[in-house]
Amino acid sequence: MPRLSHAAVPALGATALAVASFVALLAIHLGGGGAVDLPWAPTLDLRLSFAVDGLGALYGMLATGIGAVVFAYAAGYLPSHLAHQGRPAREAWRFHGAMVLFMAAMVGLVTARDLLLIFLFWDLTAVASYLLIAFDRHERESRVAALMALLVTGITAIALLIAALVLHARYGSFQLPEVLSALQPGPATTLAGALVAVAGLAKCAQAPLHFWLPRAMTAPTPVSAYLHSAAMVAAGVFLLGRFHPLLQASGPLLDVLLGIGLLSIAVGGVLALTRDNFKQLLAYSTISQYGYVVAMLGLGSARAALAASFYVIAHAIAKCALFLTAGAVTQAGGGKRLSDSGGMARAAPALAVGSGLAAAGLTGLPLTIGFFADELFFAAALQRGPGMALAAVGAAALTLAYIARFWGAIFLGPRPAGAGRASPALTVPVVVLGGLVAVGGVWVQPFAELAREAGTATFGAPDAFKPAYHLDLRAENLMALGTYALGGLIVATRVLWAPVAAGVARLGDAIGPQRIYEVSLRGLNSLSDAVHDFEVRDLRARVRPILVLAAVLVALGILATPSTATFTVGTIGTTDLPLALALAVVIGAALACTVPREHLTLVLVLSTLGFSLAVSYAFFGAPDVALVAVLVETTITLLFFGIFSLVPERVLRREARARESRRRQRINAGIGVGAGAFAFLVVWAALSTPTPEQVVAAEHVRLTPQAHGQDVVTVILADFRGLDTLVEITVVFVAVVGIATLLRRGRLA
Amino acid sequence: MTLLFALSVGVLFGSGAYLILKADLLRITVGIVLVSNAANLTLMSSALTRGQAPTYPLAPGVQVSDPLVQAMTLTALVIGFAVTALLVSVAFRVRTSSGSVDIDELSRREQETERELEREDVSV
Amino acid sequence: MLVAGLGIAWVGAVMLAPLDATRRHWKLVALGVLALHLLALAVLMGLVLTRGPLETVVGGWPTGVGIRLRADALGTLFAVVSSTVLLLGLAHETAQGTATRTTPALILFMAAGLTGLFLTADIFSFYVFFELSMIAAYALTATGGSTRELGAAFVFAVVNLLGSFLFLIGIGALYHVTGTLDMATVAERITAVEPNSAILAAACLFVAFAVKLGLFPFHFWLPSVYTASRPAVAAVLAGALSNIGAYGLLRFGAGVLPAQLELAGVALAVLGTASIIYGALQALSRRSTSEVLAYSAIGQVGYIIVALAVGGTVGLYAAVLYAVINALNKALLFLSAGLRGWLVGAAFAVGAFSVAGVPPAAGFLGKVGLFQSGIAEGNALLVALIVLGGALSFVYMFQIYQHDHWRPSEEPPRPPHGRWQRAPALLAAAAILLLGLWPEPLLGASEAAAGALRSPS
Repeated sequence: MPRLSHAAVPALGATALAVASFVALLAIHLGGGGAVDLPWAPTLDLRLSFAVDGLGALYGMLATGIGAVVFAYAAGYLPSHLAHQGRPAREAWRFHGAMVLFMAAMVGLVTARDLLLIFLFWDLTAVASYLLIAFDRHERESRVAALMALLVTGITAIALLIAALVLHARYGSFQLPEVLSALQPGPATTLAGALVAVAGLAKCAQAPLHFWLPRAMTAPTPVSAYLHSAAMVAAGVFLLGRFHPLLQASGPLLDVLLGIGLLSIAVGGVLALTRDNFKQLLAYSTISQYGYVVAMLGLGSARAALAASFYVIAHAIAKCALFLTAGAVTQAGGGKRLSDSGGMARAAPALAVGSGLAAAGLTGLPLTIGFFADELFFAAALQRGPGMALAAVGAAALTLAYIARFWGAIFLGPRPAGAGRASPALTVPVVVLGGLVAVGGVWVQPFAELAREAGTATFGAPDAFKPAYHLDLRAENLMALGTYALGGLIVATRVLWAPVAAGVARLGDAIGPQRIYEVSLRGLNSLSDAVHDFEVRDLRARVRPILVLAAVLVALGILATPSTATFTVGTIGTTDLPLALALAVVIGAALACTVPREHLTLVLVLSTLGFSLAVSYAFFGAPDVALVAVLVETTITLLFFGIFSLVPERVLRREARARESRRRQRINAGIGVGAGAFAFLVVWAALSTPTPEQVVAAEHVRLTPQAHGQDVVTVILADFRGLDTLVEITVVFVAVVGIATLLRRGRLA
Repeated sequence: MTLLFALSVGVLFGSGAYLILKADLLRITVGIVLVSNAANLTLMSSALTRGQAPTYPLAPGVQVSDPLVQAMTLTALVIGFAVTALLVSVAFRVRTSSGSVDIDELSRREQETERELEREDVSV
Repeated sequence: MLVAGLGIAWVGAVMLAPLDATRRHWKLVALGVLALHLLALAVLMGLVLTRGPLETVVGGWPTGVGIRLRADALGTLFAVVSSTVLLLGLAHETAQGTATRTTPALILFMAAGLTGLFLTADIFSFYVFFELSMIAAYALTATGGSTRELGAAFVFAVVNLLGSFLFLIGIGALYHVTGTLDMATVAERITAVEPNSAILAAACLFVAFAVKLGLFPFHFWLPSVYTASRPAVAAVLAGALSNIGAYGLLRFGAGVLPAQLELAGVALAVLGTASIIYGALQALSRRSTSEVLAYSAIGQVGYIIVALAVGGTVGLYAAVLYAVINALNKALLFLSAGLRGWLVGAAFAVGAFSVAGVPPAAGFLGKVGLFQSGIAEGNALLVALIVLGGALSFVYMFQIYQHDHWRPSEEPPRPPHGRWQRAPALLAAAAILLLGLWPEPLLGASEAAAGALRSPS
């Protein structure tokens, strides 16, 4: 059954793997944790060290547990998603492969102990999310979204790497526990803390780096559900939790975190109220709700750390259920937008109940795990003061309003035409998660314990607060009541604030960070195009900068090394006269080479030059060189003549007659003079240097008889430096091979 | 003499550079030959001793020319010759393939290809 | 072992040159020879890393009289990496069937030349080997046959010859001031030389190597050559040949002329920075993969120069590491540039992640090295520069990746590639992932190489 194998095998395999990992993590955690520590790259001081502590257990179990549910859901979701787009079922392998990679990266991230290992897994989550967001890569929107997510999270990840290296430079270790226990306030620590915060905040989509998250909604629904509840975004707050001691030691960083968290709550919440698309609404709600967690981490108390950990659990379960609901409704024909959805409660009662529980959980209603999450949140806010408590109530009310709107618009009201029943395969996971939300509302103990250990690992000290129902008028309860009232009020007064919220959204579109991202990306590309127009494409301009810069470097070199009396003129004795004359001819011929326009004349002048050089070599006392120079010169002259006979007259004549503009000639002449001056200075400076005392050539002369030779030059070539000669012959051989190849193919047909 | 050597090298190199900046492939090749000669002359003139040809039997007390630079120059000469020959044949092939020995013409073609590409949409 | 490392490719090339390598069995022989050559080099590197440098003077003459060959960690590391890239390139050519009669021989010659220059400790023999690999490269770029390729080959040859002759002038100057051709002796005696003469010779060498590397603004030849050449040739140029520049700057700059290198630190840093920014900026909106890669190459060598400018053990280590990883990245990217299919897409993505410095692709090790050198110096500007360059590389690599591999193509699907045609690209991708996951050998070798520079012989 090929269809079954492509659709089901990867999904079942992934689910089984997730369940097994969850069980393993749970067992390790209950067994008191475990650690692995192996050398990895001693040169870089890296170790493969992993350990399961409370924080790691919490996020690891979320990633695997939620993962199992999402993978099972995908088994039912993906085949019809692929079939709908006319894609082969085997692409399920790619999907689940990337999902498993994502999960593995999360587990690795939360258990890693080595700073660079953390960075490695951190980037792996970015890679996996990149592949998953772009799963529907034939659609432009998906590609744009994937690139945006990669750029935002990938580039900010560099901050984490730098932070790791700064910490290593400061504390001499990549082992996180060692570093955290040695922390001292100071510039390096603050810098590292800020860098970690940047990486973490970008990953958990906090304002102003939140914009990639709503765009990432182009991914298939299971991806969004996983990304938003237990994987990608959770990794961001995990990182802030993992490095919390560093943030505490980094001056006012916690307050910045608090501010960003509150800002994100507001921005995400208000925008969530204005969204019509299911997944867009949920995306902004994620931004807002991770804003809670970031704000709590920013509060920087043991209770807040506990509250943050608990909130992450409650949020992950409930938010995942809502995402899965959105996918189930859309696949059942219930639309993608709130405005054209409704009445699904009758068509899909089980789904309605499951997601109703989840929604209640997110809004913090009693008998759900969310109630305790809010209770802790309020308790932590109260510790800080009344202002913070008010803000907390406002935040929770905002959440209540948009979640109520989401659930109500889908499940209540009239049913649109064409809506069918939700598939059971998609309903069961939602019901399971909804049930979990309810279980947590009754039996909070295990969740609270897990959160407590995670909070302790985060803050460094435990908090005794026990979430429970209290039927009295304590502050937390009053705040909860206030939240319900205020939330209800927001829902009821929609007409009043809707235009304002829409205005905020429009303003954000016009000048918000996403706009900045788009403008800068487009600007960079245009800048690149503009620079490219300057990129020169003819040989002249390719050579010119080399010569000019060489001359400039030499000038700089002279300026940089002030030395006295380096340059000497030297004397011309009577014995030198023939050589001097020959060189004068060389100079003349070289200058003459620049003049002729006819090619034939040019080559004649060139050969004059060559022969006069040969003559000067002879006067150097180098008969061998002179002889070879004559040979070479003759051959080159013949070669040029040969080419001239092969190239038609008219081509050469056209080239000879081509006139260059005066300006260009002047520039070329200037560069020629500059280049000449450069070579002149280099050689003059070298030749002016007094002869060193030990000269290897003297050894050559002395040893020549031992090599059974007469002519020292020949012996050097054949014996002392025979290797050079061998290579030289090879060079000639390669040239012959190259020329043969060229001319054979170049024959005019 | 020091100054004269340096001057010769400078003029050779400068003239070569001037020719390389021309549009004509053959003239460019001549320029390379000149630059190669400048390098050879540098090697020769970096001789630490000048005198008789270094061939045994040596008369005692007579200074011989530095044999090492001669060996180096010989090697460099031959290598320079080989690359020049290759360069000339490339120039020749350019001419048979394009019908021109003008570098400007080649650049124009390259630019056209580029412009063709740039018309495409840059988006991902 | 030293002689085997040098000789195998050389002899193989000479034997293969007259044969018709478009025949299947000769192609396989060429691959075998190159693989054997690589194996010998790998063994040599193993020996060097465990027992220290090996050296021999050819012909048994005293040092200085004869040519000294010296295999140290730096040389063997570069030789192994370059030969790996050459092997991948040759395999690609073979699999694609684009090789001409002489391509395998030319690649083997290049391997011999490169190995020679990485293993010699003599400045003139360095030049000779350098010309051997260059002339093989000139011939290789010119064998394509189209006008565009030939024009590019001509430009390539002219510009690089200019560089070579500058190098030769520098060699002449160094000989005159020190009276020797042996690197270690030159390094010893140069300290006593007038700083003026020494810095001018150093400037000559620097310009020559900067041209090979394609450093801004010496790079103008590079984009047209890389884009006009076949993918395998471009891979060989970018992944193997340009190593001459990086190695030359390391060997001559840090090994032979450290004082001059230090003096030129600011100039190097400025040029490197300009190169990083210019290359990345140009690469951003280029529409063809090879063009993006060409400009990316210009940007990437900027990092090597900047690390070199930082100097010290940390900087040199970062420069070596980055050069090695960059060579592999470029080979992978060029080899997979012309191909399609999801496997090749994945391979290209590995290369893109590597360039952007995302683990577990090996590129992140290079970034770690760079950041460490910046942090060790307390140089915030340098760190900011690397971040900026890294951010831009994210943008250009993934724009072109999505452009090439994700957009539904309007063209009719091309005939499927054979199994073997993708193999070189996939191998390169696997190697980069492996090096990222098990980095110790590479890191250890780079550290030893940087150490070799700090204490020459």
